[in-house]
Amino acid sequence: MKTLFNIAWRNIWRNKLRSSVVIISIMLGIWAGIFVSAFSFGLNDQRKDALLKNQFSHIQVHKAEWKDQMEVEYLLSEAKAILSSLSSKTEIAAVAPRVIANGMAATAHYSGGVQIYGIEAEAENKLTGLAAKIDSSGKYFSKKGRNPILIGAALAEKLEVKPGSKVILNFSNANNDLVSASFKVKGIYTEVSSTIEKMKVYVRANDLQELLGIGAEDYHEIAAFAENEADSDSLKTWLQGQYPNQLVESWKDLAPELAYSDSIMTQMLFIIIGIIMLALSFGIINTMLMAVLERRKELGVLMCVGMSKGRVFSMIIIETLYLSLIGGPLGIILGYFSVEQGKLSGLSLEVFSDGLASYGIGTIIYPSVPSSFYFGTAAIVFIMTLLASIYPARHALKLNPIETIRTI
Amino acid sequence: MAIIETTNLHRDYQDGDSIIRAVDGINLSVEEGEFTAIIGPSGSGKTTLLNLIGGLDNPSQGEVIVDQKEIHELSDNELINFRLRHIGFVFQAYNLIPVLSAKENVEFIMQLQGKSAKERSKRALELLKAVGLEQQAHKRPNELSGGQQQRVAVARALASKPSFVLADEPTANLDSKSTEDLLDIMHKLNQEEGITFLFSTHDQRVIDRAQRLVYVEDGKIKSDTKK
Repeated sequence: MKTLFNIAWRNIWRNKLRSSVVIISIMLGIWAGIFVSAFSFGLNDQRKDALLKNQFSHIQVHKAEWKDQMEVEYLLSEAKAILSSLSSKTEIAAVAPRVIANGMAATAHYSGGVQIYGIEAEAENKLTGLAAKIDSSGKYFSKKGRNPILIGAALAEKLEVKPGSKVILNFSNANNDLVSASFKVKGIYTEVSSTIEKMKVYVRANDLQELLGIGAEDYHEIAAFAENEADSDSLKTWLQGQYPNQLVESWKDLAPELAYSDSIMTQMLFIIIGIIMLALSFGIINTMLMAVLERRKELGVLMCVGMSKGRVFSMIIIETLYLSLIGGPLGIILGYFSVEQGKLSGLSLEVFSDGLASYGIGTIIYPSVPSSFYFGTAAIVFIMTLLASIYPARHALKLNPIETIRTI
Repeated sequence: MAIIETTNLHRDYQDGDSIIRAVDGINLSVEEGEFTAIIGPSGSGKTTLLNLIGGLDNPSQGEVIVDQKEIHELSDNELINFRLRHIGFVFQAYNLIPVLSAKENVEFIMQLQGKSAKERSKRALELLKAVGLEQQAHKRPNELSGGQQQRVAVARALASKPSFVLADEPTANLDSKSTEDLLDIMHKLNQEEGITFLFSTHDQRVIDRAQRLVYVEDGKIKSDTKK
């Protein structure tokens, strides 16, 4: 068998140009596949991270009726206890309660629908990093001042406001009476998603509770971030067991399309790698078939002098595998270093910033792939090459030694 | 003792509506240690006869017994194995493996036989020395002259310690000097080690050195003379 490996290795270098072209095409194909996959993984991960951080968190708790109708009256009945349970859990990184009301924000220039989030400043900042999103002209909440409000940059542009400007919020209170209150813009935040900037405004929880006519410990929502996203489901189950009368949801319940795209991403990208390898396989088959046809006489001689058909078959398979076993790992290594470099510098998609912002994705994409993806790619390369080698190897088997050498 | 024996050997080919009798009822017996040349004009059936004796082609009728075994009753794999162990081949166009050195070409047959590396190396060097190429052992075929390549091919044919060597026009592509050198080597191997050689040839120099001449024409043996 060692001899076969030896001959096969030397055979592939008989036509250096041809073998090099095949090896380079395999290398570039694999590199492109890995890089495109890493880009897709990065895009998906960033979208998921942004949506979890800014919108869904890992776990949310509401009163069951809240899901169907976001009415002021549907307050969490055990908010204090739930906050205490979550805070004491080591798997929980951050937890924050929210009061939420739907209303209208208006200035002299514009009015539009908004979701008003009444937040506990410190807890919310720990959960979503809201303070860091405020531009330098404004400030985050403090205990001082009356009715401060944080609004998104996109909404601020429409309302034509800046820090210090006044905004009127209109919404219904717990008695279904229309409330109209003046808020002073404390800061303008930016998000990767322009939709969120237009929709969400933040006020202090106690200001909103007072205006809504609800208690100081009444909240509509509690959102929590786990130390490890993978624990989301188990934490949800645990919390639901503790508070069976509340509706506990993980991010997978809140954004099933996000969970689905996350779960199918790996399979989808393996299919892309498979398609690339399928295309490359035809190049491999063509090259090896040419190699077999060129060496008809030589293969015939080998069979004449006593080389079994099994060995001839194996030799062609080994030659084919060599091409991929050089090109494949080179492509994987090149892909690895490209991805690692991409992780450091990121890939700027500034020209698509508007479109990306509407999907909640930043303009700098950081490619990434799980390490298992490299192994999976290597396995696909090996299997596809093995399949591609069968046809030329079978062709070699069909050679008739007499016809190939004509004479002994 | 006969190591090759053909009985009523026929090989017919279909050519359109007509049948060509390439070999037409040949009975031939070759004894151990003979240095026999099969001669005759082009198209007389020499090569077809050697193909049949070497188990590379199947007879339409008759039998070929090599080392007391009817080789055409063997399965494909058994026949490959039989050729590997009993028959050495020398081809007109040398047909060495281009990616292997002279020594590796000789060793290759022994590797197929499963011989140890030590044994292979020792015998390959002995054989290359016997054909006067020990200094060229590590050269590849493209670095050797035609005559040198054919001498490597003889060494390769002998590597498996075959019962006999079949050679089809072994000197056809060689110049006079190389032909003489090759014939000297094969004659010496025949005389000193008792190796049986069966040639087909047109070359008068080979005919002059042969101990037995089998003249074939129209697929039949017309004469069989021993010197």
